[in-house]
Amino acid sequence: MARLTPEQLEQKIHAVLREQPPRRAPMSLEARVLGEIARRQALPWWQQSYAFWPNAVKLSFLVVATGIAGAILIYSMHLLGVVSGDAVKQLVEPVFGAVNTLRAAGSALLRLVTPVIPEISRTYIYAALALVGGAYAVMLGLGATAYRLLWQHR
Amino acid sequence: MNDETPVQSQPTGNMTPVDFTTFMRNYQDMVYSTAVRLLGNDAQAEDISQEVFLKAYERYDDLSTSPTAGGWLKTVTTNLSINHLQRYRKRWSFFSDLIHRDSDGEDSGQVEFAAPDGDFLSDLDQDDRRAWVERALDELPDHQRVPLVLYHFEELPYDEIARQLSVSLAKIKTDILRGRTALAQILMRSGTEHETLTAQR
Repeated sequence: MARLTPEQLEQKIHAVLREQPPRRAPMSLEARVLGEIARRQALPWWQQSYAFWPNAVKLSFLVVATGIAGAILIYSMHLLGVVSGDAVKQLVEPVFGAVNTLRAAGSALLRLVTPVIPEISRTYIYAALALVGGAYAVMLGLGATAYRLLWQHR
Repeated sequence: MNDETPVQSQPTGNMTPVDFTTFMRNYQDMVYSTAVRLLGNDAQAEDISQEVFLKAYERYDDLSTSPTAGGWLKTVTTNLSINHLQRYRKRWSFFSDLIHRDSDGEDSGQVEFAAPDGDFLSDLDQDDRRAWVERALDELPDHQRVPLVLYHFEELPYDEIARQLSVSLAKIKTDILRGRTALAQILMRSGTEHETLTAQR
């Protein structure tokens, strides 16, 4: 009866296992993966993972998320007494300043347009809005169709 | 091994399903082998392989030209397989502890070998021998097979295996030693001439 030390057993098992070739993947794997990719691509962007969101949406999301996170952080620090009310006000003022500037620009534009608006028939305004909405929907439809026909099955 | 196969270089940002299909064909055997040896289950291994390639697809722009794509795929496969085992076969540590306590004192380390020179399965042709080894691996319980595969196939050190499986280093060493002994005992069943060998502890 021969005796093997654990080291000898390790070497023998290692030799046996390392001789093993890779196991063949089932034929169905490729079709499954490609099918799942096609299914996911057919989903609208908001149902896909972040990596597939449009760049503008990604950027907006980052800005909003950063803003919310910053606000929560500042508010928490204020509640804990780490940051005084004045300091918070100083931090927030530039943001409100930018918002106020935007609001002022909007008001100025409105003042410019307001005298003209009564002269425009409501029908024209609704028609213009419908035209813009319709054009947007058509472009979206055309883009989705072109994507499915020309790109998705390549 | 598949992970040594060079990946066809694709221009980044010009991904098409055909490019990805080639990439997948280069690596699917390696990914599936890793998963099936860790999980010991064909259907689960196919599910995990699918998940790995879907993750690879999400970052294919980087992977298509990366020389370390094989390593990345192997790491993701290993992590997903271990997560799967820990999620769906809970109480890993509990069962491992239980088995250790129950089998304390029973582990004589005696292994019978088929051949007088101590080689496993030496009387079988190569294909039968390989099939027998795969079957023998599948027969091992999870708590022995997984660390054994991580040690011998993935060549991870003991401490890294212990960290990945969230169990103690001592337990990993014991599990691997008992896994080797159990594997040797399963392998020797195919032999015709038996020689008793004792693995001294």
